[in-house]
Amino acid sequence: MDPLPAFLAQREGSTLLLAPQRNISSLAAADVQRELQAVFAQVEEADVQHVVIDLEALAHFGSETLRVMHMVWKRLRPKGGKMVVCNVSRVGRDILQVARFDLLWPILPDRPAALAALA
Amino acid sequence: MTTVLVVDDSAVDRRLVGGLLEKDAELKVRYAVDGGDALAAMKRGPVDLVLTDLVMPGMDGLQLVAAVRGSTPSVPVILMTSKGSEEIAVRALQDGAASYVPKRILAQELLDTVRRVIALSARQRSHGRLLGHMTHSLCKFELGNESALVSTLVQYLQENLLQMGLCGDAECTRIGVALEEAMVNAMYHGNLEVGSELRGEDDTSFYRVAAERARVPPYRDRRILIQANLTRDEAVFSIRDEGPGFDPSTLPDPTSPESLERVSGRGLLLMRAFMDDIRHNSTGNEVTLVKRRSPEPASSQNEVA
Repeated sequence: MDPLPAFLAQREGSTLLLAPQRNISSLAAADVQRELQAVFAQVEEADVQHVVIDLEALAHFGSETLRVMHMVWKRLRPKGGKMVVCNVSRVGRDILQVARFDLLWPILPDRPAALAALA
Repeated sequence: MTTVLVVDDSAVDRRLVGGLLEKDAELKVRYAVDGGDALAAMKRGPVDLVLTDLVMPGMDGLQLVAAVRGSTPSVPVILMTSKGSEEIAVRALQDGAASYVPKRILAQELLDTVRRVIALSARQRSHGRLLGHMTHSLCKFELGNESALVSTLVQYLQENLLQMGLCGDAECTRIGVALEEAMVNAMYHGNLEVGSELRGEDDTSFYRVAAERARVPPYRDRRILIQANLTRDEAVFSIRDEGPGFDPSTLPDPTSPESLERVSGRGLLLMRAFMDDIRHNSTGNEVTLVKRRSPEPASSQNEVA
């Protein structure tokens, strides 16, 4: 079993900061299921309203990681919450633009800017 | 003659290490007092190996490892560790240091370690030079439904692309994304027959079903067949699964406004965006991805991914 979590999480008030540490597609299906359950449980906590996805650890990612981000975003919407993305690499930005998810989630340069955008 | 740069903030330790190295007539020793001084010394003249203390004021050994990996990755770095810093040394190895030698056994181990690392580095450089002369590569792989191996294979193919000079770093990263998408599709949708309709609102169902099917026949026994045909001008990848196939034309257009709310189809979108050509066979269980060499402006050769 891989000892490192796929996501690191921390809270800043009502904002949950999620930092993927590896591409979801590199994990076995059973591990993905477990990781997602943990992430969604945090997003669905009553006092979490917004999410920052920090992509600093991922030089690139694929549709599986995009999918997880999309599912997180959909869980925020009933709460009126917002999601932003930060620390995106050059290729990561290309990926978000190709997938047209840059139309859904603002891309900010770093965590302070991301938190400020949600304030 | 091999040039070794000894980096240590202690003049006594620098002299000690230098004295040990100079027992080998093939080694020429230069000195630096900390990480910043080391980087400046490397700019002044070529260095074949860096031998550095771990704990130093200013830029420490770990930071120096990272800096050398970034600027001159072909130059190996060996760390000298004090008692109690072995954990940090292991981390440094994970971050790219070539080896480490505890200071308490320098007299016994240093020369052997330095010679071993120099020999390995020379072999790696020679290997890299040889691959730069490769004009055609055809390789075939047969994988089981293992996500981790898919990632490893993509890295292997990317290394080959870079060695053959078909693309720069950023382009190579994009090609890797497309390849990974194709292989993951082959695994989940092809071999395990886990359809996107399972994604729905509960994304964990998709992975639960995939995990279950990966353990039982016929899904468990299906393979992903990958062929990579590389020349200096073109890379042609074919990825085939052993599932029943599908009709790509039935996928919704992910660029349509109504599809923005849905997440399906993004993998195919990435493949189309990052490759020059993409073709499915009539059964829908094989995809061929083509990337051609494009003339790049000199400034984009070093484009950072």
